[in-house]
Amino acid sequence: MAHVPGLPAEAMASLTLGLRLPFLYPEALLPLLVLGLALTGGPRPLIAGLAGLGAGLLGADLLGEAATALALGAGALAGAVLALKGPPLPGMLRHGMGFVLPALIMAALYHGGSASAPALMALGSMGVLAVTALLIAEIADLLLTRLPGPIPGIALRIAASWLAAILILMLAFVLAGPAPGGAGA
Amino acid sequence: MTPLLRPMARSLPLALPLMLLAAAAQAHTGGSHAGGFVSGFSHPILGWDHVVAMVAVGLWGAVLGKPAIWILPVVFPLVMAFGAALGILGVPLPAVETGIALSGVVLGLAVALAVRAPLPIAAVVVGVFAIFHGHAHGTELPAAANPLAYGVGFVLGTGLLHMAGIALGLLTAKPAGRIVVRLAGGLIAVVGGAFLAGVA
Repeated sequence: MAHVPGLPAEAMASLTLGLRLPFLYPEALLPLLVLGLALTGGPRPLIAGLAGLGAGLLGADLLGEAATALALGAGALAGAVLALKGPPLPGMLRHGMGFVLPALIMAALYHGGSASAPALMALGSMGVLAVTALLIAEIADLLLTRLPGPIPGIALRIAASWLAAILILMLAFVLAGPAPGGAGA
Repeated sequence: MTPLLRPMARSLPLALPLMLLAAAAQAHTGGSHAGGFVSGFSHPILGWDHVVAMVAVGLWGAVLGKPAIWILPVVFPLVMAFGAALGILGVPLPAVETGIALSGVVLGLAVALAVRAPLPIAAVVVGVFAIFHGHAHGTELPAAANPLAYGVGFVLGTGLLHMAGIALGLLTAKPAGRIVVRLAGGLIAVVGGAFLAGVA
């Protein structure tokens, strides 16, 4: 097969893969959903988020395989806090989550290959992670402000609780490792 | 009860018998429990000891009113998932089956007697029992083929049972409904007692 580096088609392929990557891996997608909900109801920590994405890419190889478990664990913790406390979270907490979750999501996606990943691919992932989290937060904000009564807030907390529960289960499967004779985690 | 919840009181209780019938039907498929959404979804609704306890959580929440009506179903899946994680990881927990059966008795009596426990105490009671239920599920399913699908199914199954309980519990808005709910609590306690005594 012809392989000509630098062609726009190849660059597009890298970018497209980078854009799709967060939606292909639950260890990225689920914490991303939690992150979007956690940013609801206050100013978005954009600088912390961008710093987190960069730190995650740079530190991905340092964390190695542990990045997956850490992303799942941090997502579960953030979801549990949001479920129990409800939105809006205090500013410090929102900024903390806004840094840690993007960092661990990026690390979970790129561990073992961050040094060799094409720049466009990494940029695509970083962009789609940021946009998706902000989009979820905007939609949740819209629902909370436009719909009357306590139901939207309760629904958000229940969603956070269910996401956290799923993340806890996934973390347990990851920590337990593949079962003998089974498809495993 | 909020006005927004009243339509649920009229419609959602109808779903309960169908869900319970579905649980009974699925209990006899004879298939394996190997991984995936169906496995995760069916696990909480396969055993009556689990079903009655989870419905009782929703019922008790409705009896206690706001904010317990939604805090208990928020707490339960979190703690239950933690218990399931302990089971998946092979962390032993003593007297799991006793704890599960006891949950039916205690939560059923709490509904039947309309016990108005303070919210923190109610949350701790529900949380402790959730660990037993979760541990049982986790121990039985260490090798789900698809952790995400299993997790989603597991949480949805649990959540739907809570909603069924809450929907039935919303009948407490009317005097006759309060009697129905307390009778349901009594029935749950009896079922839990049957499991505790080993006759079910």
